[in-house]
Amino acid sequence: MVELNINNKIVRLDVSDDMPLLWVLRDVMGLTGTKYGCGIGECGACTVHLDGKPVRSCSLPVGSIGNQSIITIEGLDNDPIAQKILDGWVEKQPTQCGYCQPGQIMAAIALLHEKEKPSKEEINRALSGHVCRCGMYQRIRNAIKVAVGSTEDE
Amino acid sequence: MSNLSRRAFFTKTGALILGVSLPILAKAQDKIVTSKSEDNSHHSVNTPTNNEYHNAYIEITSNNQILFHIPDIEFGQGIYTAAAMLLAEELEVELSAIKVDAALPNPEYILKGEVTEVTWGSGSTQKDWFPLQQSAAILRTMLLQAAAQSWKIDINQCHAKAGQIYGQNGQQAPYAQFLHDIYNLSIPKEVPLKKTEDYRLIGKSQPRVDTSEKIKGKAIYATDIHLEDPSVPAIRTGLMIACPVVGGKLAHLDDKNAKQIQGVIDIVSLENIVCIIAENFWIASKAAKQLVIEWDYGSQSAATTDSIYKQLDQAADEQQAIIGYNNSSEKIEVSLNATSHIYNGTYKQPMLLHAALEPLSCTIFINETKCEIWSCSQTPLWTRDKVAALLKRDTKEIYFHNVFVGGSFGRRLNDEYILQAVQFAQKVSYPLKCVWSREEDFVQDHVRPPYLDQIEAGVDADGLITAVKHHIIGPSVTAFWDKSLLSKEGMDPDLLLGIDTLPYQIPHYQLNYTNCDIQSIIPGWWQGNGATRNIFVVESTINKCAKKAKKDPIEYRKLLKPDARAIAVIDMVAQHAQWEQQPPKDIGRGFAMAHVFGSYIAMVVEAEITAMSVVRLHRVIVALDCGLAVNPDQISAQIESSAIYGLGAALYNEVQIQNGQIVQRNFNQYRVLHMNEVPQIEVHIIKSNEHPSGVGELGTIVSAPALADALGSILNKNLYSLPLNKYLT
Ligand code: FES
Ligand code: FES
Repeated sequence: MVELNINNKIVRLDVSDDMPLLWVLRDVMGLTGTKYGCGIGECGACTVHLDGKPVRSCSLPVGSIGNQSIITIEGLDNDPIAQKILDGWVEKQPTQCGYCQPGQIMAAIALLHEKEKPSKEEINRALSGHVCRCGMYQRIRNAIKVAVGSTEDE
Repeated sequence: MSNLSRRAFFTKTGALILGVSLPILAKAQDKIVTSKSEDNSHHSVNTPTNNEYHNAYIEITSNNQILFHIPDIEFGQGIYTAAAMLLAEELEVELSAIKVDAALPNPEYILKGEVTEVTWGSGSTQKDWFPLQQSAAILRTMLLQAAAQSWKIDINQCHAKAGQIYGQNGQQAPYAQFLHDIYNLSIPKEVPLKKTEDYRLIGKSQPRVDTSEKIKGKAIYATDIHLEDPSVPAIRTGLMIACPVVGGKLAHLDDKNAKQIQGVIDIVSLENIVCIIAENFWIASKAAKQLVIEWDYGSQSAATTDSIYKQLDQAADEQQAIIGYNNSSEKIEVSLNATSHIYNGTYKQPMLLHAALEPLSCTIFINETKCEIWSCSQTPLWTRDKVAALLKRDTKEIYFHNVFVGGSFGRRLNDEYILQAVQFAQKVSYPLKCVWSREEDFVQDHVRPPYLDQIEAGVDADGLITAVKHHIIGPSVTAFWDKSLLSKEGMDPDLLLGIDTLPYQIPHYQLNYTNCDIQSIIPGWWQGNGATRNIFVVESTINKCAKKAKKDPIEYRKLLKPDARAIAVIDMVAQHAQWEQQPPKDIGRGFAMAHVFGSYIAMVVEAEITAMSVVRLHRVIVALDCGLAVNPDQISAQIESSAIYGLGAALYNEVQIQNGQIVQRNFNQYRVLHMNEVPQIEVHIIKSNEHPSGVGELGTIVSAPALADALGSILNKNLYSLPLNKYLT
């Protein structure tokens, strides 16, 4: 039995300690917005928040989480920063196939939690571990800039 | 009337279908409507709502909703949005009034000149352009007619706007009010389409219709399927492990220990693949580690990258080429003899992975009445028919739902993984979610095959190219895919892509092809297909000849008499790249262009090689003429996307084979571009009223030659082989 706080709800699950959070979310909880791309921490598609920090859920055994709060792409309702990011995404249209986007968005929100107005370099650093095979990086960066109220595009 | 559908079904061939009652659809529709009221942003619905074969293409519901069942696959290129725009424009509704969902495969949807329903070749908007607008215009006209009749006024006294019909005397009613009346009308054969200057939507950037669900994690991909029907057993996860060598077979399987693991349900196998079925992915992957699998690797187990290239070299010497293309009646040897000088070059292009972010995936449920599949196939009708044959069932019992997919880049033009999944699903009594780990996705990829291209380019006294003998040596993807598409002589038309539409006047161009099958790989379509390979060779050759002639590459191309549309993209890219000015010190600048899929593209790449021998991509400037740009912002996005895909591959990628197996198994071994490495990209689109033409793959097609030119100018040599980072060590 593992007890987890997922999207502000406490759940008790009959899963083994070593099961990565990604599969608990997708296969046990049915929260399929979090994606699998590599399973080894190389692509960022599985990114969720752990106490507000971005983590790779494919490489995080649930037994190590304890009572830290887990937020997924489905759990952003009460987060004003998340809303700004989503608005930025709507404006700059960085979504193509969409598969990387939940991970990119979770990383972007976590960045803005940390830093109100990140520079281009800070955005790059925070998101450079996220693969977008549709190559929407420039738009993603511009979407984050829109979210922080900057008007200048690249 | 009560037995009839309360909806108008309009088929792609222009027929109106008088509906019988369709309870399943009615239910599905109610669901769509509820989700709409919860969430006001417009979005497409790609969940499996569309569960009945009814040939419908455009549907108007009793509450005035427009449902658009689209045959094209959305793998990121934005066709759901572009097609919805075409429809909304002529039907006179708002874009937000249209719900797009994936049509079930249907021979009715095959367009003239197509072998089957197929989404490829950057062609979606191009082929939908006329039929879709025409369908919408006919439907609108009939609604107007019905309204005019019922109001007893002339049709010219009515007009349609935002889903409503207005009459001259203040009458107003929604389209839905006339659904029954239109069945009594005869269907006009052709209705004039709007004039360009009257467009409300076409040509003006619209946000994608699938943005909302994709950014909220609500978009449904093949492994996101939930089946809510309580009578259906729980979905199980089947982890696929296939023989890593082409042609190999399962020799022995010991699953005793694996089966001990709690949560493992079944372990089933076919001739060359094992499926570990468990409660979830994690348990299945733990069980995989306990399996003892012995493969009989078969005849290809000794193949290596080197042995494959050697095979190409040998085939090149055998001189059994067929002539694939020749634009002159003269013998090429004669034309070459008449030139002042001949430049030779042998170009080498490696094997490549697709490496879409979503690994292969497929969810299936089979029962007595039907087989439902959620996956992605670029040829859905073929897939459906193959599944029916495999299961020995009527095609009407196969429901193939083309859900969203995390990229394809050509991979999903092959559907062998769906057929594998079906064979496993057939063996079990519950719905099966077949998953491929990233490692399996890579090792089971149908790779872009390797090629050798030999070029003899003859130039005249001014250094201008007048004769080219081009010899391609390598496998034929088309032959593997559908032999019937080869020419009588056995030529693969894909190998001509970009060559038979060169934007220049080269008086004599002959292309010869020597087929060389590589048994240890399965050849697959890859972004840009033959054009990606051809344009690298031809544009690199032109850049080289320009250098030899001591001419600027742009000026040189203009001397090759490009057509007017080609000149326009050349000039546009030159202007935006400030081509007249020298690039900053340490920056190499490269140029390439192409005319393919009906469009013209010119690209300038600016790159640097640092003191640490690292390539930095600074800037990419593109000019594009794709005819009328239906959704300019998304056209720009597609060019950005395909350029990044092509630049990354050109710089870093090469599949290695060892012991007959693909060596690279994950992103840590197959380098893709990341945010901190990508250049700034500018896309400039020519204003045009020509028929829309292809976009999706064009950025990839010109990336390699433009980057090779940029790096070559720094290294001061001609770069003949890919990936380019090999030149840095
Ligand atoms: S799936 Fe976790 S980083 Fe790729
Ligand atoms: S949008 Fe397709 S991988 Fe990023």
